[in-house]
Amino acid sequence: MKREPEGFSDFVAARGLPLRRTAMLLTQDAHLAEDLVQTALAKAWPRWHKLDAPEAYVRTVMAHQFYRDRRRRWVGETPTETLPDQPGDDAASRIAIQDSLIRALSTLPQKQRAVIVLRFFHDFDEQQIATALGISRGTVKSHASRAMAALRVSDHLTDQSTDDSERSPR
Amino acid sequence: MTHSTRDVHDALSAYADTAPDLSSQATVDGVASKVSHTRHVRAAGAAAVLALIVAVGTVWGTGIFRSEQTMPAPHPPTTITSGPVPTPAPTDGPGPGLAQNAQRLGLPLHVDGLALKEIRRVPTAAGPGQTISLPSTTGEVLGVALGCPTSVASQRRVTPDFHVYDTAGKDVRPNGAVCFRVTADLAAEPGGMSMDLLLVPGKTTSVRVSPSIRFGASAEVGLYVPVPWSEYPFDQVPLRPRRVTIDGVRWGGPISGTTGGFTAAATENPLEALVLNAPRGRFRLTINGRPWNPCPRPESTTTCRNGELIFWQPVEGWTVDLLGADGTVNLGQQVTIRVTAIEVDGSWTAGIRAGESIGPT
Repeated sequence: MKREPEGFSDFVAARGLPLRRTAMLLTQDAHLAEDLVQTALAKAWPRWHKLDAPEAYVRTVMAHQFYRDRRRRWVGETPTETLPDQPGDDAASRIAIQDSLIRALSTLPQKQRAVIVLRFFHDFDEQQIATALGISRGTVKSHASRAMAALRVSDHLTDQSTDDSERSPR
Repeated sequence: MTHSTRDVHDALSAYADTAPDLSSQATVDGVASKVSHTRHVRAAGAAAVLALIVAVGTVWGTGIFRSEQTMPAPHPPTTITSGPVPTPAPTDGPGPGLAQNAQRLGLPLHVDGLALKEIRRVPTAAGPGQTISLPSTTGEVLGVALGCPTSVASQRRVTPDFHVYDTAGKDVRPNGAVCFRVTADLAAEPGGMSMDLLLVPGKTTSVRVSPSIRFGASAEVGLYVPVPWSEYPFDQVPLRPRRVTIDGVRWGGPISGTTGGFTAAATENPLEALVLNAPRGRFRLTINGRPWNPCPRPESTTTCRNGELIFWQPVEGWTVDLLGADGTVNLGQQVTIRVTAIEVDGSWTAGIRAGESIGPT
């Protein structure tokens, strides 16, 4: 088995967790997330010395791999901890909102989920998402539009009551 | 939806925090395992040129080998000509012929377009190394093949590292040291060697094998020379079928015979690749109308020879990246790839990973 390229281990030690965070959002499974990270790093391995921005490259590979991987199950539900019983508390309310959003996100098809993660977690613009996933900007818009429409009518989110005025998403 | 983009970001960030913080070494080991698997799949189906296999013969002195201090006189070079493949002549050694020696060392007589020409014994004392002269051919590229021990042997720490240098002193293994097959370790699994292939230009007259540690009195080196396709004894070489599942490939469908071809117009990005499933055969590739050498090096090898892509064994999932192909493919560029069979032993399939349109011709 070959030794890793120079600097590879240091990179993994420094940036492995951020990459795993992205993978976790995409796969919503710790084991699949690690596998996705390793697969992307394996693709970067032979061209390591040529990469000017290895983290960006690996993250792009991860997103692209997830987007194209037909093996991955569409996880309709995601296990979460029990919602707090005491509504009204700011922290509990925030946790409840986050939980609802994640549950709703888990119901999205993986291609739409990839777009949402890159858009809202990594703040990618449409062109960056298109480049990362190897698709056109039009396809990005289509995925984003369908994802937002699905989230709007998601049972996980419409069950959530808000005591604030309406806040429209971008 | 009544949640702001900030809510979405915070929710994603909170969920991302649930990602486990694993040992980086475990991740690196997992990556190395994936890389090794990919490399063996590629090497098994599309091996580079082999001319030299180094096998450690007397690590623990079983008494089989003589402890020579001088290198035996090399045989006169043999020119490869068209016609029947010449039967390799017996070489130096403790007595048995070439075939018996090869069997003892676990060296194949024919592999990936190469024929074993002779086996040399060389001293392996630590120091500047031992020069091994190579047989000359009709200009074909010679290669250096190094057998790597099985995992069983590795666990017993019998994998000394060697370096191999060409006539000009250039390290022909710049990416790292090479490994060896240990033949005298009775605990090692015989025949468990995988081929680790190097390449030197055909004009190379010798290589210097330099061990980094002393591990025994001598090593035995197998020297291989290329054989033309028409002279290769396919009937004597066992088929090595592979079953590899490649995800995300859009295939062009089974293509039969030499009249069919495969054309793909692909949206180029660094992640796209051409993938082939094929029996033994010879192919020609073009990219954007220009001949395409898919091998990493411009010199001829047994895989990329005289403008042809050659599979001496069936391949499954043989992959080559498109970015940087022949220096013509760049980011954002549309590419058209053409695969044409010249001589093939059955139907074959080509595909593009993450392509935009695919169709057989």
